[in-house]
Amino acid sequence: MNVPVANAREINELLARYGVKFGIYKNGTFNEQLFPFDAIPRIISAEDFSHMEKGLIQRVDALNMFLRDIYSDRKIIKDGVIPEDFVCASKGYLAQCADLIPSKGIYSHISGIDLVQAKDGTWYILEDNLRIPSGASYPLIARELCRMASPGLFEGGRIADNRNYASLLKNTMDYVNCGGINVILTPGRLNAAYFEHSYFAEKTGAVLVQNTDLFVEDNILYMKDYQGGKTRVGAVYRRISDEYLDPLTFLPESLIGVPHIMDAYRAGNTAIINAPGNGVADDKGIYYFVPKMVKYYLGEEPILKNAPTYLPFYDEDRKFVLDNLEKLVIKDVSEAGGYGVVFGRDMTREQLESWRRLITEQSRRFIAQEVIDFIDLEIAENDKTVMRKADLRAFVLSGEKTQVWASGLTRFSRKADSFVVNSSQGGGFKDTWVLSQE
Amino acid sequence: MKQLQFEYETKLEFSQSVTEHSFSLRCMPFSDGRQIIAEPGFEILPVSGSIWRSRDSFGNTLICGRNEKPHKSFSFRVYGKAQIVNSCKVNGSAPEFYKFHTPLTRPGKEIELFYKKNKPSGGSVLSRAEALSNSLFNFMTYKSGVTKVNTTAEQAIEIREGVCQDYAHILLSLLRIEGIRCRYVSGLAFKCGETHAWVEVYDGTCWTGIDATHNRLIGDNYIKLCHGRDYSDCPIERGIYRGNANSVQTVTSKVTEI
Repeated sequence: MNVPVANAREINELLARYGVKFGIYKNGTFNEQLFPFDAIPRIISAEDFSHMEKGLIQRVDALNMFLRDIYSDRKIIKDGVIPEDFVCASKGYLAQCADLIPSKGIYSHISGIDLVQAKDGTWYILEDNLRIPSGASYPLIARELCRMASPGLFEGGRIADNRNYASLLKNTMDYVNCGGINVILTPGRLNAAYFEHSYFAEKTGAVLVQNTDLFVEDNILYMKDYQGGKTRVGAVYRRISDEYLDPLTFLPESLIGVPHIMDAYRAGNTAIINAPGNGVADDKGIYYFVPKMVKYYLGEEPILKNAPTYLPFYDEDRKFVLDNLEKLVIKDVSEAGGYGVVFGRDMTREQLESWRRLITEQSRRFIAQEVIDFIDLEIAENDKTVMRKADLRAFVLSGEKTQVWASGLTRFSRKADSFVVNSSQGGGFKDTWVLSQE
Repeated sequence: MKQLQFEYETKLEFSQSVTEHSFSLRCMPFSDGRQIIAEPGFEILPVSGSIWRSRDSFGNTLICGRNEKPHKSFSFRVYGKAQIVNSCKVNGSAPEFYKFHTPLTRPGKEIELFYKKNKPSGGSVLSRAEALSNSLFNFMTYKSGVTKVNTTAEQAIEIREGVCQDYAHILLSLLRIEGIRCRYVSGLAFKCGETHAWVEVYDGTCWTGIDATHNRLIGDNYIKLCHGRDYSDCPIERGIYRGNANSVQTVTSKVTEI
């Protein structure tokens, strides 16, 4: 089943009009780029998806249990499964959130899990994104436009309908809501993902707000209305990062945060989606320990595999990394968005030597992974079809239960031979079709 | 055991009116095994908007407020009585995060060098902490006006001068290299004048206060207001407002024996 959707050019024009863009900071300047859409869908079989779904639910459940544990009893540290260094010295760990249990005990409500499929068909987890994973709106709107362009393709229910993302998201917000309305808190028009913020607000019935629309009084979060009245807010799907969330708790210079929102949250009067402090669980250093978490918290074998990963922090792993550097990919644990990723095979002899020194000196700062030769997907380029590397961001929503959205964001590299698919590195995207039966 | 009476006031004068002023104050001393607070009270001016209480993850009590209306000054005053049961020790627990550096305590070359030269040769947590405090005291000169609230431990040791906050941050940095859990404390310690900062070290069961600025254990005239991993976790006053105003702050405190 290889079915290019008709009118690809027109769909891209419409996406541009709707503001489906990506903002990129480079050398201190902000540029908005279109996020190019490729009309050839990625197709995932029902069987493949069902396996992936079980594995993702298991993984996200374990990650949520980990977050709850390390912000309360810290049993996994006391039991020696994860060294405290990897928790407390992580940039994403917020001591300001210790002993603070969010509504219904859920930390990661919306998880964006990045996977790749190796040439032998095995799916590997590349990265967990538990802070503010973006991107679900892109396949959603692309599907909407494709339905208009090629309605026949979607007849007969062969392709799982992905329009339920809005209800999954709304149900998640409603489940943790502490009384009051749902809002989506955006830093504003200039944010790279502003299209997504406004689109989700429209689709879920949440109110799109900026910080100046909100205030806290007596540990209760309110939205101001035009008449000078106030409406209680029970859940905030915030699209601003932890450090800017509350200038009275985190960065004092934040101008996009809501003063005292952390006090309302601590008092249990509002839910914050996703919970502040989640960064500790999607740290690249913690990634290594996720299969161990699955065993520790759930007593199960992990269904989905990590890419083989080495932690130079451990002597044995460091020796292996130094000896095999030219075959490995090195990632800086504190970087995201495809930054801080270097491949040993691209290095000169001098560079290899200086990386060896750096890894020895700062062993906690890096992880090393084997390079997975993941599959190429067909991309339409100037009336031709070319093969490019692609990954998949699956969206997992945790409310009353944990569910995987039967779609996802497929991102591809627009450069031949490049393994970096991040949109912030100039990649494009595809719709992801999950087949509903074999 | 000592009975103290305390009074502490901070006043901010703005150069122009400000509005939508939100603030969090960690100015209410709380009772622990070392100090018992009686008849506490506070007063915030101007009386407008709402005032409520909150907590933080370090165990401090917060007085929060929000004043929408224009005002040109802001002040808060706390008062009460404190019974000091133990001069420098208090039982308690210490989460792992007290072992780790923060941006304000992260050592650079100078602190690492200083630590290497002055590494304690063993002994109890407290004796090692006192040894580091002693070396630091001999190295630094107390001088106000040369550092700011966001000066890091490394920056302060580079110039070898600073105030109590800098002494505390450097000692925290050294203690964390040494692997000792420790925290920053703000409080009242003198008969009159400003607030003071010191350090508490954890030995597995109890916290002991060390005043690095004076190179001594804290005494029964010290009243703790709040604590955290460093200064930025527990400022006594933190606020945000709308308005292009500069502010001048005056602090007065008075601690007398009853």
